[in-house]
Amino acid sequence: MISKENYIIAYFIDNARKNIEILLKGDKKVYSHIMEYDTKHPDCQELLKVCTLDQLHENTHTRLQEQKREFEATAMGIAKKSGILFDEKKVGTKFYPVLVKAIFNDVENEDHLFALKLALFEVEKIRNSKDNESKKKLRQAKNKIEVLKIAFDLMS
Amino acid sequence: MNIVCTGKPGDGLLRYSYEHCCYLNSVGIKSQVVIIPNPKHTKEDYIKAIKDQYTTYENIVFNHYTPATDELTLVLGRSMITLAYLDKHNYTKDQLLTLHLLFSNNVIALYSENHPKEYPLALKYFKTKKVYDLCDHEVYPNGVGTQYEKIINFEVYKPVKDDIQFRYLFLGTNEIYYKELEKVIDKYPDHGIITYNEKWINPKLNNLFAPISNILGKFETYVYTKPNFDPAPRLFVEFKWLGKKIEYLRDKNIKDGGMVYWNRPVPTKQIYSANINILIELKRAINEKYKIF
Repeated sequence: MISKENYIIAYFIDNARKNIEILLKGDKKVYSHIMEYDTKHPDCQELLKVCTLDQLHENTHTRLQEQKREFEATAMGIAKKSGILFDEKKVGTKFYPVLVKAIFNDVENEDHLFALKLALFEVEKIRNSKDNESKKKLRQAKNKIEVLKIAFDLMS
Repeated sequence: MNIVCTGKPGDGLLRYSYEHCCYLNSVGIKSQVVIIPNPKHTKEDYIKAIKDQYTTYENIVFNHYTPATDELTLVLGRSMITLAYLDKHNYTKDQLLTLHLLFSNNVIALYSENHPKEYPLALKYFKTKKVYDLCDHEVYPNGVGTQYEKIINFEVYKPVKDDIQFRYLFLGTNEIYYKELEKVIDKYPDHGIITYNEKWINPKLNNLFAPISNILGKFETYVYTKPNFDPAPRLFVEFKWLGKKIEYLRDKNIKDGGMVYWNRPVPTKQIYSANINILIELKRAINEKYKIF
């Protein structure tokens, strides 16, 4: 029996949107009830009296968004913990082997070079240096080691 | 001040940018136009466009520039930032680096509505520090920013040589403009159409391929037919300035710069400086805020 009194929420649980999960209040418990979306079925008819089809779709969308956020947060947590991803605010020891690989492997990779130059020019001391010749050389440098050498000179 | 132009060599925004640059330098505000050529055009196209029209060619840099963090960036239309964002995969890495460095500083931007969805994405992409808006509220009633008009700086124009070759001038620089002028062109047999050598042009008509030297001197009358939103028309203002005839051959109910500029006086030196002083005052206030002297 589905009524306004015991209804909590309902949403579709499959991509085809044929099956619905309904959460209902019981004696100090919440009960999950799965049913087919079939407007001829009395249970479905009862549900549609307390929750419209539009509302069902909206609840489904909200739930999927929440699930996505939860999944992303979990994945990020695992990635950071295992060293696949770094926390920008907390550089740990696992960061350094990756940094070394990033510098010494694939030294002429254009995308890497671009990202490295951009990051270096975000350093105020480099960006605002009056040594225009070195800044020009940094822009024109063709590999990561050359870029870093010039950057270190500008910083010292 | 770095005035960034990512538009095409035929665009009004390139001209407004260069004219701003000339005025700002003339009053002691060191400025330059930084042009990142549209991937379909060359540096030479831009140089020709400027040299054809103005008495000077100075303070223009192409592609490579590394601004300090306290340098201000000016764009004469938001589209200069959005186009750069949309074209990001077609630029060289060095062009993209210049754009990142210029647009991550404080930016003064003239309000426009070309890409309302993409503009915020562009700002996010370039990590723009802060945008200070200027807006022509007569053209954009729902725009944001301090009132500011785009005005032609006729002081820097080359003298126009009278060399009439056609009676009527039509602008057909894109397919939409071209289709529109084709509806009326048979009534103007002595016409010249400024356009590009594209597949949508009609070879039976008198097509003149841009850029065209001394364009203002070659026609008697400008027939204004632009069917879509025109924020800051230049050609009919130029014709008015020269005392030439203009036929306003478009729907007068279109709410854009067409009617607004039609009703404005021909810009004088005073009108120009009164308007640009709004920008100069804004620059001063920003410098004051960030203690830049």
